[in-house]
Amino acid sequence: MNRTLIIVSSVTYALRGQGLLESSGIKARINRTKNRKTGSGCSYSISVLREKADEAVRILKNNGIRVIDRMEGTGSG
Amino acid sequence: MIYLDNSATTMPKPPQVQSAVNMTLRGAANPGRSGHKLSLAAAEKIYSARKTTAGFFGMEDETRVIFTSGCTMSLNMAIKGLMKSGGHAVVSSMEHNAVMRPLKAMERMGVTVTKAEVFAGDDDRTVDSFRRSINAHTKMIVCTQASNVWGIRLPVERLCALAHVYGLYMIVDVAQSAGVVPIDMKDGYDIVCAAGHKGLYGTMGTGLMLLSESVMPETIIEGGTGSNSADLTQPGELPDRFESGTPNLPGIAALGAGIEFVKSKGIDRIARHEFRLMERLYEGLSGISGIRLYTAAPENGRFVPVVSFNVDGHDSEEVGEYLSKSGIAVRAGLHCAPAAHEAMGTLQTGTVRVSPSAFTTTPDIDKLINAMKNCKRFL
Repeated sequence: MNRTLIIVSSVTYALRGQGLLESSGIKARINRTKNRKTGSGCSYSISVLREKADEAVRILKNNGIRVIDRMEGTGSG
Repeated sequence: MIYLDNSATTMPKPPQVQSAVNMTLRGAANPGRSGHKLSLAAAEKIYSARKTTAGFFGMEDETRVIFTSGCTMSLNMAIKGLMKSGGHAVVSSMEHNAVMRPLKAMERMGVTVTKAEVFAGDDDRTVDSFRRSINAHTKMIVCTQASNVWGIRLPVERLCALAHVYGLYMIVDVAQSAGVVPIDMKDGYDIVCAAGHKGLYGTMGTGLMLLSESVMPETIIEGGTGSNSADLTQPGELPDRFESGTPNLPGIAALGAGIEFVKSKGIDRIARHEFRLMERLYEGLSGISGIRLYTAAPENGRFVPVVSFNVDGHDSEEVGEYLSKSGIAVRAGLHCAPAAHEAMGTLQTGTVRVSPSAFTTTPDIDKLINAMKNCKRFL
């Protein structure tokens, strides 16, 4: 199953984003993810189905959650 | 032991609070630090408590709920974070040392303080007293919502409006009022600081700093947050900016459960219960010769449910010791609030403070009244 990882700044925002997406009907899971943009470890991502990723990013941004990066991945996420 | 020292910390804790602690101790990892299931489950518990807390205090943005080690830590973070560059603060004559000592320590950095007199039962005079204490260098009003010694409530909603007319920050210490007085951040407070282990029924070692959208103090503690670790600059995003170090997961889970307990009982119902008890106590003590009461009878709206008294010719600590030997736990002395005692002329003797909780019963109060009726034989 192809998934997109939407990287956010902390686990709090990951949990907030997960709640927002699921209340909008988008299933989302949380992963610990390396932030390749900053080279920093210690980021969290929200994993969603690839075809839902654009909509998910839009929902997150509209609700004040800063999206640091997005990564295309494979697997169950 | 009859426990009437709930203003120090509530006891017992509700069963759901005890369960919350037990569950985290049995199987919870470090939240926000790892990607394994136990760490994520721990982070979910903290997030859930954060959401519960935000809802309880009328906040839309749960990331502005900062968990701390106690109200003292919250007040230090708020005061020092906003006064780092100096300035003037207005406080009330009823403040706890959690407000007075941080400000005293900042005097060497050029911070100055004016104490505004509180006039119990006359909010107009109290507000005017604060207004007259503001000067060109004033940055903030920081005051308690209710005295931890006398139970006297301050008109913090009006003081908040006053602060904003003058472009000042308004910081409110709700250590003694949260759980018996509704507090809504939409009333305009810039920062509200609360204890987690008193009227919110959490465990000791927990507190809250609630930030409005209009304020972002400097940090006084920096460290690991589990986020953006390659950058040595403290993260700017909330709540990480103010929550360095491993969070107190058992305490935060317990605080969330404690707030749920208060919500389920209802603030009004808890307050009515405690006021009934304190009115009974006040009436009972009023009829005993040699007992001195310092305020009007505690009345919902003007007080929080606390009664302080003395016995003529005796230090408060003697009376506290007598009650302890009689199987009744109260707090005697200065209650870490010498300013409040100075205002009422009890700095030398202290007072005996009685404070109930949702679990206090009428027979508990009657036993205290009876013990005081007999005290002259033993003191």
